[in-house]
Amino acid sequence: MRKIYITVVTSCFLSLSTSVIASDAEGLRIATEVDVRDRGFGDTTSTMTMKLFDQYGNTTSRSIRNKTLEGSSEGDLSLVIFDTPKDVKGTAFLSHTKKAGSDDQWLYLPALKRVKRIASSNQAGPFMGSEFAYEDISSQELEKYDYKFIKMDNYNGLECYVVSYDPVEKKSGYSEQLTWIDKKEYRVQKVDYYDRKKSLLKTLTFKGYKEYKDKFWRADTYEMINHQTGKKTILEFADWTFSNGLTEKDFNKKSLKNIR
Amino acid sequence: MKKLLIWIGSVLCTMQSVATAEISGSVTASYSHFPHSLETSFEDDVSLELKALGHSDFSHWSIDYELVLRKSINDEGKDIIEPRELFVKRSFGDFDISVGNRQFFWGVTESKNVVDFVNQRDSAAGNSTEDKLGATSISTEFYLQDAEIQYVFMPYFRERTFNAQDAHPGLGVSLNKAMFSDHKGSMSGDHAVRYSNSFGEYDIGINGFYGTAREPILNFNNNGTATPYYPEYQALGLDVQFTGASTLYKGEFVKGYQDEIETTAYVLGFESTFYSIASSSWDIGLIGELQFDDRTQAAATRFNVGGLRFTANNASDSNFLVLYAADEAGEQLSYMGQFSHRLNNGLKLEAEYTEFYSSVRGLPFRNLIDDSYFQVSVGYYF
Repeated sequence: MRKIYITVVTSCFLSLSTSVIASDAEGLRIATEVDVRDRGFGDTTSTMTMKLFDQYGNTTSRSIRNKTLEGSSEGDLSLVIFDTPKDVKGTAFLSHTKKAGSDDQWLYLPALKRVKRIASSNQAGPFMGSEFAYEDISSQELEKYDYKFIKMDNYNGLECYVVSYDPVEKKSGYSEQLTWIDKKEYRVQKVDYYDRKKSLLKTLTFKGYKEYKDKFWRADTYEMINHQTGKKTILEFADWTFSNGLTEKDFNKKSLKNIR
Repeated sequence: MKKLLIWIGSVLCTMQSVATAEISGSVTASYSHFPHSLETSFEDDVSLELKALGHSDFSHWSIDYELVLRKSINDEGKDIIEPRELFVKRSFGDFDISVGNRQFFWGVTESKNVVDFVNQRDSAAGNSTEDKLGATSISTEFYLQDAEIQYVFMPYFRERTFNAQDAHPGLGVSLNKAMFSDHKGSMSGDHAVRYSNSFGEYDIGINGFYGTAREPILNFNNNGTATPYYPEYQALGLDVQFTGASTLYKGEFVKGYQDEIETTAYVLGFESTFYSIASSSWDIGLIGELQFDDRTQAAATRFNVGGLRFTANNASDSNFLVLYAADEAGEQLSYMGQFSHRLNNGLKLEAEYTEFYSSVRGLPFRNLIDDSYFQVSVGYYF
């Protein structure tokens, strides 16, 4: 009886060890595949409507334009321009993502004609009062997480890998991001965000995926629900364009000052 | 004034009809109450400000404008029709040239920008150094990767605006025509140049100025009048910002000559932000700055400025700022609280209370006690 018990415990342990080692490699493989399949997009522009819902059902919305340039040695460059609310029209946020360490970020304040470089450690802070944190909207570089394959799951009729993304950056507001990635096209379908206390904080779902240039998938709608506050933010993307001929010069301080 | 309004209207209509043009702006109504007002002045005032902004693109060149019309019930010094910006710009790749009225922002600190040589302050608009008159100028900008070189030639000098003599803050005397150290007066021509670049976490600017000082010296005469006097000024400045993880360290330094008298001015400070206080969406920013200015125009040689900025990070962008300023001897004090909250997509509410105090007769802040004020503004943005 004792022999049998030891065998069972040992086999469980061996099974667990093998699983951890395998799932780490598998997690990284899946995350890498997601990254690889989106490489080569060059540059994109899009428009976005951000709808904020508070816990009482009140709604406000914002209109935003986005430009992104795929990074070569470093991370992506992105420019976000606010058209509404009208009192911040023309305000622009420029980010140079780094694969390791803090990103470089600048804010253009049109009323003052001022380009202000800002500290980028506020990764966990809300972006423009929304349920999206700065780290949610910044470029998702492969080096920013450790990965672990958890299981296979069926989500919205799609066979999905469930992978745990563990942020490397200590200033991240999350202990874990549980990510559903469909097996067929390697598109992120859902993310459960767990806070530093390991409680479920938010869920992000992606809807209306469309394929551009026969390769690049972009979702029309991102919906982020905060389970702890009851608030919700929906991002509705439109007017995606690829290969616009953007260069690094479109993402420097001069371009910020010339934003209209 | 009627002709000017018609001209502005026709310019706006023309701009709208060509190329890609858009107009936006705001109408802001403000009510001000002065709790310590003297009997010679008014306790309450209402002002209305219209701001129209626009941009028209014509391939390689463009027109930008920001027109301000302001009218006060009790303070005629506030009344203004001002093209803060109205300039034509031509781009040649990395080189731009602009002609017309422009606003520039030079510097990195928050309470005062001693390297900001170009724009004259619209001081009748309020205490904020952010209200500026457009600099009538020919300016060039050259960009090379992260580096930028700007040169600004200002053929015409813009005098500072002042509130009416019985207004807040009023001088209590009528103003004479301004006098200039340079015999060419307002047509002497000013030159300003700036080189700025980024080196890792450091942003550095080197600034130079040759011309007439923006801030006048007020000479009070025996006949109950005052004469603004604008001295000649030559200066070299340096501004540096180090961007840390959650703290910005900033400094601006200027060494110059004002009517051949050597002068020094600097501002040293930091801005540190503590995020998500008590696991909420609120951030608290801590601001500390030390001002030094030995020019005759400064209210005191040294001021210490400290403040807290509370940011709600909510849909209404609510924020609250409290600032405290004191001179080195603690004889001049100023407290300020400022609140801002967006009511909806087009409406914004702002409120401010500023109190000046000094127990020493003759010091500038002693004369400002009756100008302490509460102001509430509602702005409609279109």
